[in-house]
Amino acid sequence: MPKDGSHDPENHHHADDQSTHHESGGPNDDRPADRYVQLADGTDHRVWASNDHLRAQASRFEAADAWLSERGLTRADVQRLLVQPADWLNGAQRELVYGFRHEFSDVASGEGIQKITDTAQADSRLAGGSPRFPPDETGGSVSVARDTHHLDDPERIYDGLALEYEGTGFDPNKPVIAMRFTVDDTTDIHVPDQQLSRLAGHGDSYDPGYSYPFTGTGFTASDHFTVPEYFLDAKTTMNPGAEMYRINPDGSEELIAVLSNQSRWIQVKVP
Amino acid sequence: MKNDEYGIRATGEYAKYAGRVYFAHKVRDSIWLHSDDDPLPTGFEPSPMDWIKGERFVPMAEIEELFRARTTCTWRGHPFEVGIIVGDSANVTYLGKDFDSVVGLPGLSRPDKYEVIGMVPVSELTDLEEHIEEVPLADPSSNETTRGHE
Repeated sequence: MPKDGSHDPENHHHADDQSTHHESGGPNDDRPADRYVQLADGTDHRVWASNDHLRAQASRFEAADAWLSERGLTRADVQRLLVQPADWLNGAQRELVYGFRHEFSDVASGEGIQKITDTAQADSRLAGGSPRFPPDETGGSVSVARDTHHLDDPERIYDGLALEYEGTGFDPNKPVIAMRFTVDDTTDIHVPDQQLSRLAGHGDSYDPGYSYPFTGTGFTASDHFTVPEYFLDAKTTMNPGAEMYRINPDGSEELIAVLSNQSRWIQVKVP
Repeated sequence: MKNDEYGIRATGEYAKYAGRVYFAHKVRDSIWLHSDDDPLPTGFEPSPMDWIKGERFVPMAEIEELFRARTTCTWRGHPFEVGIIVGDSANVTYLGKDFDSVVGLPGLSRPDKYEVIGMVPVSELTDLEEHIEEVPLADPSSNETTRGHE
């Protein structure tokens, strides 16, 4: 359900909200002041990936929005196409979606990436991890962290990342966990749009071979939020300094732990 | 973990240290070694984790051999990877793509859109296969390139 309670499936106002937000200030206009937290091991950590930090970064949507604008379009015009399986699109639509997706630049060195998990998985990581959830490893569907700063409560995250699927452990009314991290330069960060890429005549890309909510367009299956999707291979290692946030239903977020050099999540001391 | 008792190696990394092989987790130029020995081997500390008794963090330079094991199996007709065994149940990770179908099977859950995991009886695992990949020990003088923030 949209954030404002509207049930209109054609309501694209959130995509518009994103544009409005990014256009309200240039990069670094409101860069947050340095903030340090003390960790349970007595060390200090400089916060780098809070929502305030992500919001202050230059938007990767600007180039893509400009590309649409040159064609007399807005994100609201194309949003419904992004969630369609690629083979449901006609030729012109495929080229439009492909062109829009590839206006998002390659993920740069040092770019913050975000992985959403449920609180149970976070609890396991905080307890030292397990072979199932090694503290410093992740994989699967992720986003560039700044691309999704507007998904700032569990309801928006649930909608934007298409977390309503069979057997989901997510609930739009319960807290979720965001891990924000960087990866080695050698790490593969895939754009999962092979189906679209092939059908549009652009050759091979990456295809995990999944069905809905996987779209194959390179975007998540959200009717309301434009989310460029990326995939990490299983067991991708997060660099030390990764931050773990609890995002609450009221939209607040708390930094709860930081990944140490020894691959352990060290909890933030509560003042 | 009771993998040794069942003769089923858990999927993961293994390191030979001081002449003995341990279930391990490599962290850049160091590695966590895990042990269920009682008493713990020399230099090991009690682990905060509930699935293993002890652990030790050592430099990779002290590791004599490193390899990755991947154990696969079939459970109720579906392909899985086998992890650690606790009691008479094995941690498993689904390797197929029909997540909607398998998530309803007993003992399984779906923590992520494209991931189904769970604990299932070891006695029901069939077609067990172990795959071993040797990991070259890196030149300690080499530097890894990292994408890092400040």
